[in-house]
Amino acid sequence: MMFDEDILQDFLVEAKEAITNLEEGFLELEKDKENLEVIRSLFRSMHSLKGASGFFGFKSLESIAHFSEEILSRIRDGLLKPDDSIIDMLLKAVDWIKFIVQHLETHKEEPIDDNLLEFLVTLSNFTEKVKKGLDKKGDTITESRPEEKPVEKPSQETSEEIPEEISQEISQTPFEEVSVETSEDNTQEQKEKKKEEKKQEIVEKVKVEEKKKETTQVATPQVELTETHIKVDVKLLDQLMNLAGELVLARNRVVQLSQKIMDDDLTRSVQALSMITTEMQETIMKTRMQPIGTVFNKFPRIVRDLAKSLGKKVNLHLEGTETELDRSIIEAIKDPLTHLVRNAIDHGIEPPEVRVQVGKREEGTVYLRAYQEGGQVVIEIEDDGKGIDVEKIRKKAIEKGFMTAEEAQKARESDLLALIFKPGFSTAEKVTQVSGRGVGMDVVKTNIEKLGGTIEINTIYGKGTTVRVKIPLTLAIIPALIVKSGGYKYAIPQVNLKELVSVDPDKDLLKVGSTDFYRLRGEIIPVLKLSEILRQSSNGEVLSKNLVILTTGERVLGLLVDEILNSEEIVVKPLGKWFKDIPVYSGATIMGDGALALILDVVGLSKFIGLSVEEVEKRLDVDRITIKTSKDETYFLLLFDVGQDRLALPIALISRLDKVKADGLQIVGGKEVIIYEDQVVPVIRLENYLPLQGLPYQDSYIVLFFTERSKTCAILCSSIVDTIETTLEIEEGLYNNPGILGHKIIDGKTVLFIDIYKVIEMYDPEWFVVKLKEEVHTAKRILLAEDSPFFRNMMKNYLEAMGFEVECVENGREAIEKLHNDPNFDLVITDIEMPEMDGFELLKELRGNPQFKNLPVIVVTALAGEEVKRKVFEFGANGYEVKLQRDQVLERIKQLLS
Amino acid sequence: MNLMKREEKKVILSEEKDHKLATIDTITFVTFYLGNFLCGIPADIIMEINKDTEITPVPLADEFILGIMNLRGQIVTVMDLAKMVGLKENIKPTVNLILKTEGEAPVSFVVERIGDIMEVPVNKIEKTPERMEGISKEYVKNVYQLPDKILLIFDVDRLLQF
Repeated sequence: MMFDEDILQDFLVEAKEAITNLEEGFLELEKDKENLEVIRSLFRSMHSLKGASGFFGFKSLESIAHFSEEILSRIRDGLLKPDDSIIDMLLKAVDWIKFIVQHLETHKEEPIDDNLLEFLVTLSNFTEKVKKGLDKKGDTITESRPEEKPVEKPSQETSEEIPEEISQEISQTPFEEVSVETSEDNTQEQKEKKKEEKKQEIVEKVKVEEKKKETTQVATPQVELTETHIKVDVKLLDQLMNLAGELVLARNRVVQLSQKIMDDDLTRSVQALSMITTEMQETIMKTRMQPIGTVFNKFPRIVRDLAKSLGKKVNLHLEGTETELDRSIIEAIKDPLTHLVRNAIDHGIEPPEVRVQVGKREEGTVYLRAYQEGGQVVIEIEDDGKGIDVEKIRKKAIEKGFMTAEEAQKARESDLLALIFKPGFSTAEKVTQVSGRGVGMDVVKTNIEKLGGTIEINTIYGKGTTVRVKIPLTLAIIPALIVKSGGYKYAIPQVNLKELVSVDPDKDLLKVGSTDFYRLRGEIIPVLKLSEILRQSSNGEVLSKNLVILTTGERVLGLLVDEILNSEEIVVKPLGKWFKDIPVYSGATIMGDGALALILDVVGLSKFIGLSVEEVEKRLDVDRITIKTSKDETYFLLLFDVGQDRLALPIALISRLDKVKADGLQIVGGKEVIIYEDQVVPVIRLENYLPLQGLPYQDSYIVLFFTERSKTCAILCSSIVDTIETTLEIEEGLYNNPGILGHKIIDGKTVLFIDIYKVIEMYDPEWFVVKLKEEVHTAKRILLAEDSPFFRNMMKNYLEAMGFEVECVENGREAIEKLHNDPNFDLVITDIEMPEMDGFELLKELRGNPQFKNLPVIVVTALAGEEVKRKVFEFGANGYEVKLQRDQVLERIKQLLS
Repeated sequence: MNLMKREEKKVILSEEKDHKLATIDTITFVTFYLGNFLCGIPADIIMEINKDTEITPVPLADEFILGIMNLRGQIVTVMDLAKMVGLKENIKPTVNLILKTEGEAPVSFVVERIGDIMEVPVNKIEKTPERMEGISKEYVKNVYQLPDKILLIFDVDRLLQF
């Protein structure tokens, strides 16, 4: 049988410990036969040895342990007196255990040895006799002694045919202490060991040995076990690591001194010291890290046994076993993971006959997967079983009073799935041996949250369930970029880092309202100054020229720092409770030179963008209980004035912003244009197309550039007011002009939300016309599900401009109804967050319905995220695009409809 | 879990005190000066005292927090004790009193000047007077009258409670 090296090593370490305990214990027992404490400890050691060897399928080891355990249990229960013959036999058993363990260590399998089998028979007979002796004569066991002799004889006979390796050892007496006395060619080590033993003990043992010699020369193997792995307290490792850090400090002082003294010999030895110190520190750090495989590799066995006892067939696939995590985290996730895997098999995978009926392969599949993502380790448990019946949860939720009937009816799938983690909510109909032992998913969740992690469930009824656990690398070693601000070092986790740019803050940064922006290849990125966030007094005018582009996974931002130093592997250490309320730090680390550096939390930093963000967050928190829709999604809007009128555009639509002088505007060929970066850019005056009061003459204007498919046009406005983060909830109806999507009151002023695509089209109907139109001969019909009127109108407009016939609905349920009444659509475009039925549920409905199984579906979203993307495709979408990226949405449509 | 630990610690602390009350009748205090005030903290909760350590400031932290320091690989939160207890005068924090904190991140109180180690008879420890000028009374647990001045005994548990 093949086992993972690590598990086997663990076992061997444990077995060796057990052997030591047993040997010491039996000797103790010989001295004090009534010592119940010792008997119990012996029993426990033997019992766990039996269990562990049973796990590995080491049959002979298990049998020896089993028989020994039986005898010990009788001694423990007071039914048997541990006389010399019994202790003798048990010690022999320990010797054989030792022999087997050593063999396992070198050969990874149990020895095949006649003597071993012989001993097993002997031991088995002995145990039987002891038991029978008990039955017959109550608790006097002395009778069993004469019976023992004939049993041992065979082993004496066989001793002549023992393989060389052992026979040599057997030629000495079985016990090393005794062998010291009898033979002269012992090694120094043994002699030393002997000294360590108390004399009295030796005397006793010699007695035992003499007795044994009288009776028979038993062929028990004598083995020395060498330790390759030992157990070490993690605290000790921590301490060691701290000391290594201290050593680094001391070394640095020595380095400085040596630089003063300038002695060649000294410098050389200091260099050596330096290198060794670094290497030592690294090695010690490594001792704390473990691949997650140490946990994962325990599962094949668990799964096998579980599947067998449940009469199911399950294939387990392990992925990413090399992903490293701190030891303490590995320890802590073991139990929650076991629970989740058990759940997947017990509740997820169907019995083979059911699987065949529903057209699945007889064998169920469970994936156990680990990978790193955005500073976290993600562990997924995926099964292709029956999934979770959301309707059942809905019913249960009402039954158990977690929701009112009305709430339950409205609740979305994700809300219902979240109930699984509530204490006292279990949908298992029958309590099986495997699950339903009072340890529910709520405990799993609590345990994972204790580690600062999160857990979520995705399920498709009939198809399977995926549980995703995310654990932060809080304790792990992470690569980080070290930067300097205000004279101190800060560490930025490498996972958040996108790129480094050198900028001239005066020229390259664009100040809009109170926020700085930087244009990175057309993308407008908000910029924060680290020294400002940290409120460091800028002593002297140190110009921060280094822009670090960071990502939170959802949002990109730039961070200006004084200096960029280097990349380093750092160990994250938690800060005390006094710093809990400061969002910008995730911990601290000790640098190579012993100095401290605070670790920046990029998500925390991103909260400093914009003024109203905190308010928005607060409101979101309150709203979180209610159903999330597009109303809750926020966007960065650019507010600008054209004369008296205030207008708004999502900032992501604008590729650049700049100022032009009035004389920079020229009329060429009847068109107003500006020359910008050696390009002729047509200028659009909004008042020509929208009902605005008009743009009075100014010395200079602000120009908003709009680029798509390498065509750029410019929109003229008087001034930029601000950028705000707000929702796109707008009022419709008051302004029914094409080009205006609606309005909203912001800071007491009516702001018009303009449809830039429509405006440009009004300016030049040919602007967006690319080859696309030629390919679309008959008008293709698109169903658009989107709850935000802003996006609904904007997308409808640009889709219709492309020649598509577009029908709009406001949520997934309406989309389904629409499709049932009129199935002739070529494509569905859907938002994710919608009331009543969201995009995921819509997708699921469609994919579950044979009529619409192959209908192309594009999911559009406000913010791109890898995780959502993954999920969207998991659910069977054909495309996943960002709403505002019009050309990409069109590209995808073109591709799907061609 | 954490709570339990703290609970346990408290129990142990009070046991220790009881024990001391019963058998020996003095408590050893490490004394130090904050401005003109002579203050004391029980010596048994002080792990070590050191001077001129490098303190890394933590921007945005509370005013009484001077920053963090590296104590043999442990991150220690360093606090300006004078600011914590609401001392009006401006003092120059120089000496670190590093406290034993079981399980939790260790803490260091920085004070101006260290005084003597003092054995104080338990029965001479008095209640804090009603009125105290220049220092927050809530952190002073007891006082001890010396011939020439008064020793303020701080309530460390209280100081670390935030």
